[in-house]
Amino acid sequence: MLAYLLWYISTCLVAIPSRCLSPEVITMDFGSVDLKRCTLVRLAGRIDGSVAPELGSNLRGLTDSGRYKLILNMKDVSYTSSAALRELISTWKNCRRWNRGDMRLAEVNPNIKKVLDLTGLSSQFMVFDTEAEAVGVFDG
Amino acid sequence: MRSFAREVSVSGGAAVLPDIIEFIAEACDESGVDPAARFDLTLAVEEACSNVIEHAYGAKGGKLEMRYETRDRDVIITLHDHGRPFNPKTVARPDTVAPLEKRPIGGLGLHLMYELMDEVTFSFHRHGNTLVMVKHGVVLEGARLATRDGG
Repeated sequence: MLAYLLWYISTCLVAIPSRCLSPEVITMDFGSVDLKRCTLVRLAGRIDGSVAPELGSNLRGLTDSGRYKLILNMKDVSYTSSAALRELISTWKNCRRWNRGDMRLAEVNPNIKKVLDLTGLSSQFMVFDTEAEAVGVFDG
Repeated sequence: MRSFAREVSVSGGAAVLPDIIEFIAEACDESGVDPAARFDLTLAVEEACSNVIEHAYGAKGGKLEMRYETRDRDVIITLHDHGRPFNPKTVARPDTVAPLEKRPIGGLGLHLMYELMDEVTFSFHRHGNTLVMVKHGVVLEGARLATRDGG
C-alpha cells in the first residue's frame, strides 16, 4: 500500500508540470494523468460560460479515448457556473453509461460546494475530501 | 449610508462573460459588499447574462446594458437587453432531488439566480427585456465607498 502511494505521488509530480496554479487565474487550466485504474484531471481557474465548452471538449477527449473512470480535482477552481455544471453532468452520464465507470470530484472548495448543494449535485456526484481517497475508491 | 452606482454596456456572445464578471466583482469591492456575497452576485449575474445570450439573442449575443447600485445595505442589479421576449415560466425548474440519470441537463442557470438572489423580476416591453435582481443586507455597515467620477 505504501509503495503504491509513493508510486501514485511520484506519477502525479512527473506527469503534471509543477507550475503554480493560482485560484485567481482568469482562464481555465486542464491537466490529466493516467493512474493505474483511473484518470486524474486537475482543473484550475474560473470556469465560466466562456470556457465551459473547452472543459466539455477536454473531458470528451478523455471519454472518447476510453477513459471512463475520472477523478476531477477541483482544489484550484475558484468559480463555476451552470455552463460548467452541464459539462460535468454530461461527462458523469457518459462515464456511467453501461456501468463502465464513474466521474468523481475531489478537494472541492466551499464556493463550488455551495453551487453543487444548490443544484442538488453534491448528493449525486461522489465528492471526496482528498484526491487519494477518490483514487482509493476506484482501487477498492 | 451613501448610495453607489456603476453602469456598463457590452455587446457580444459568451466571450463577454469574463468582462461582466470582472465588472460585478469590482463594483462589489468598491461598494463595500461582504466578500462572502461577492461570489453569489457574480454568479447570479453571469447566469442572467448567459440566459440573455442564449435565449434572447441566440448564440451570437447582442447588446447588454447593466446597472449595479446599492441602496442602504441592498444591492440592486438591473440588466436590459433588446432581444426576443423571455418568459421565465417557459423554462422548467429543475428537480434537484431527482436521480441525476432522470434529470434533464439544462435549467440550472435560472434556478441558481433564484437561489442566490432575494428578488428576481423579469419584465418585457417594446424596448426589450429588463431583469432586476436584488440581494438584501450585503453591503457592510460603515462601508467606505471608493470614489470615482461617473459613478
